Amino acid sequence: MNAAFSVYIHIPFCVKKCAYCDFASYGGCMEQMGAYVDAVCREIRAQAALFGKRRVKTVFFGGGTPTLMTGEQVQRVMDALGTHFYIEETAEITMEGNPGTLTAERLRAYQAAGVNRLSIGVQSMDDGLLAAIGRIHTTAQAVQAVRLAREAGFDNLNLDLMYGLPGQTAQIWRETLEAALALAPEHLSCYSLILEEGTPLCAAVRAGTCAPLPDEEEMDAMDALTAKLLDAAGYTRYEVSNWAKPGRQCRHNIVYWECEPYLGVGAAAHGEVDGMRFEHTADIGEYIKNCENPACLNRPEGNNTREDRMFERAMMGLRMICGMDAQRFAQDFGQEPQTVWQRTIPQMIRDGLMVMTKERLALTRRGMDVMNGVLTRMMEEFPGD
Amino acid sequence: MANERMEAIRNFCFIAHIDHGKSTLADRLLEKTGVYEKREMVEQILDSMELERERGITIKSKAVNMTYKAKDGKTYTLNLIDTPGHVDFTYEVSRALAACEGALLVVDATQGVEAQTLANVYMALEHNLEIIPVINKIDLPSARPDEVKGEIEDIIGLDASEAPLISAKVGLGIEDVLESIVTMMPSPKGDEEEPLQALIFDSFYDNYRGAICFVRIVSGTVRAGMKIRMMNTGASFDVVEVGVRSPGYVPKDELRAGDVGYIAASIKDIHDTRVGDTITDDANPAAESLPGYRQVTPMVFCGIYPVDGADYENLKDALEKLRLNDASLSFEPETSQALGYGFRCGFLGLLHMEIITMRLEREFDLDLITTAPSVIYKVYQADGTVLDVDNPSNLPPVGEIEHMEEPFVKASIHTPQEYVGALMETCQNKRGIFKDMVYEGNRVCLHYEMPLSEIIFDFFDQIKSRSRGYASYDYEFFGYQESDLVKLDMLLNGDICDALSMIVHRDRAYTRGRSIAEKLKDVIPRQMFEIPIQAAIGGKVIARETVKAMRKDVLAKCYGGDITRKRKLLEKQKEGKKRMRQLGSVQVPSEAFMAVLKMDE
Repeated sequence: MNAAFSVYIHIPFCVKKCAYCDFASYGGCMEQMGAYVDAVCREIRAQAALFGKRRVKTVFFGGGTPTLMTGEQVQRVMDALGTHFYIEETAEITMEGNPGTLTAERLRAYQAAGVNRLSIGVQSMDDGLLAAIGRIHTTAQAVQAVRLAREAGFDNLNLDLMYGLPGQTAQIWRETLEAALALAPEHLSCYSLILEEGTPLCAAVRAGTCAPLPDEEEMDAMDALTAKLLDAAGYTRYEVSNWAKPGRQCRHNIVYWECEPYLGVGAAAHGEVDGMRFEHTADIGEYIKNCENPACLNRPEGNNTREDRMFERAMMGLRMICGMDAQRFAQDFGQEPQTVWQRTIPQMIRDGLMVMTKERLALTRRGMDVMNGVLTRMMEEFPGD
Repeated sequence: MANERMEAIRNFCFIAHIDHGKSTLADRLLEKTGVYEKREMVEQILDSMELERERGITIKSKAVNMTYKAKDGKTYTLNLIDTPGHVDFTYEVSRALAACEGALLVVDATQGVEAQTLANVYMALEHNLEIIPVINKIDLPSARPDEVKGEIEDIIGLDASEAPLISAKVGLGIEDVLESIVTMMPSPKGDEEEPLQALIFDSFYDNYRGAICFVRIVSGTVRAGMKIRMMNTGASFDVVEVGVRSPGYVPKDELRAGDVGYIAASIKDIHDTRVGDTITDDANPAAESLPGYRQVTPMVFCGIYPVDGADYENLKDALEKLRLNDASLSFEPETSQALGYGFRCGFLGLLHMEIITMRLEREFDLDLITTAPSVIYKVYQADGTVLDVDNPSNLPPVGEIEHMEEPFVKASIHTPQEYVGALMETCQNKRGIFKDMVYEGNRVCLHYEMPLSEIIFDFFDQIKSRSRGYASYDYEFFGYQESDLVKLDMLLNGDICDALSMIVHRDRAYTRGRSIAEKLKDVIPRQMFEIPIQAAIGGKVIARETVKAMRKDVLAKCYGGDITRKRKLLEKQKEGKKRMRQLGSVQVPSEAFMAVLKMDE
């Protein structure tokens, strides 16, 4: 039997696109959802024909807003996966969702379809900020969503939160964290805002038509608060932006950070199977047309060299507090990391940015803060640079 | 021994303040005498080098030959010698003036006589030139020709009653100018039967013909096939061609006494055609060379390094090409711990240095780092030997230095009276020693003795800004004097950065060190660590700044769909860093090395 992998399913529909979002998502074209879900099911069958009937260790419905799917639609996708692959007994099956779209009925149906983890896009517990960044929901809806999820039987919840938002202070962030902790999720993702080129929020910040971004001291205070409050509440940071109660880390995302194989299904989805990285068209019409033809659908993503691969392993692996699996690196590339980066790694260790054990290569807390600098130095060590 | 041929020759140049319309008038004269058809005219045709046109300055001398049929019915040969107009090139100007009998003094009818004009007039008078004033821009509503005539008479002491009133821009009065040249300027003198004496007033390198000399024949005759000798360098060559520029090369059978033209003799190295040298007949040499020859020596030195080390060979090729055409440019390989492989280059002055670096960047598409300019210091060592040091890194340890001397110049600053106070203060700040003050009408000429190192720093900018552009200055080297000099080092993260070291007067070291540290703090981007910046004299820290460590530089999100995109993002960051120098663990952008060039203390 072929090696196990994970499956990512992209649902590119939203009620309305948020001001900061540059993902492949489209607001207000829900009428295509039915045809799209059909296409996803047909693609699963075709991909299985190509890659074989593999074991699936995690499934992740991402978006967009996957919770715009009806229970029946989710059931169809899960059936397709179950028919053409073996979903492991212990598989983690996550669904991302917007609090403004969750109903008790849907949540029960998702649960019935096999979804066992929910990731809810709460973002902030401040209604003013939610409106400012273009979210469609309120804090009350977020609280309600969590309650409904618990009632539907979900015992593994993540809440997504954002900080560094225009006009946000450390005090507002504290209130958001405290309100989120009061909901006792098993997992928390705390993302510092990335202003993406071309988004309305980016334009507004540049033009000064929204509140200014918090300054450095404020950001420092927010980072310190996050660590303090989450630690105290029993969460452990295991990645740059992710915190979990013991044993509740997101297994699906760890697949990405460990650079293990995953199948991407749906428009704009990316996947990497058997060492080949591919991406799908972001055009929904084109996707539906080609969904049964993986040879056409799985566009190779660039021409990755061996050095690119080694670098990506570090770029992803070092995001985790436990670091990158050095032994697997050596197995896969025939060279130990400390040989590949014989100049940079000892230097980084001397500088207190990195730590190395027999099994893993990891960043220190300070190294984590300046990870881009660490990574560019690692990149510079490759011959030709 | 004037003859009819020489009677019909006029050799002249321009004296003008920048912007007073010198180049436009030249264009009109060329057009009027049929050298150019109107439709072929590019504006300011003489200033052909892109940089010259952009900055409105003339860098090289040029000579153009025109034919003019005057009102007296005779046909005249007019040679216009265009001269560079900056203090760095004073010597070249003096040689060009030596090739003329007359000068057109172009004065802007709206601006009147300016300081720079005066300095040039004095130089023309020293060469006994007949100066004809011409009042330009009379088409402008604010023109005040009568007042300006008065100024010319009062300030300069020239009769301006006959001065042609012209507008070069609209082409008014151009013929009057030509007539004045013919009727008022003397024709050249010289004996064409005497042994050859030809004054080189310019030379440049042609890819096909080698170095070409522009000459004024003072006596004798030169023709193709003759063997000539450079009287000061001693080199000899066979003449391939002689002729005039009009504007292209127009070969002639011979050039005779009184003529201005070019000599091509397959000369491979421009250093054999030094401006000011005398060309003579190898078989029948003149008894002595013409007076005034001076070997031009570089006064200002700096290191020039490619931003990308891979460009070293390209930089070398480019410098060699520029040197073909510029005998006053010198360079030799140099290594810096901070900047890698580059060249120590010598220049006539700061403008010359700026022009060369700009040409390297533009014409050869090179990204360069230039270190702080330095003069040559004389270091008297304890063991009795004397060392010439033009690079602070080569300064011996303090214990081995007995004392040091630095070059001083005599600087003359011409200014309207109201700026005298401000300019004296500037000179004082630059360690100038006041010598004399001379009133010239309502203008003043200040005489100072100053260290050359202060002049090359930002003296030009300061003089201009403190006089609203009205003052001008000129300087000549006069000797070395003992000075209390120290080596100022800049330390980044505790390590001396050799490319930022400089030799300064002890009294200035503290302010300069502090101000450089502040500048560096602004241009060095935050990095993973805190970077201390220190200024030190002989190991003693006199100023300290800190570049704070970068707070956070990490991608908040990176999942399966982001891998390639984020890798490319980091690749971009890395490319951006490539433009920086790695000094130990510190990344230093090229601008940091420029920070020490321009200071505002």
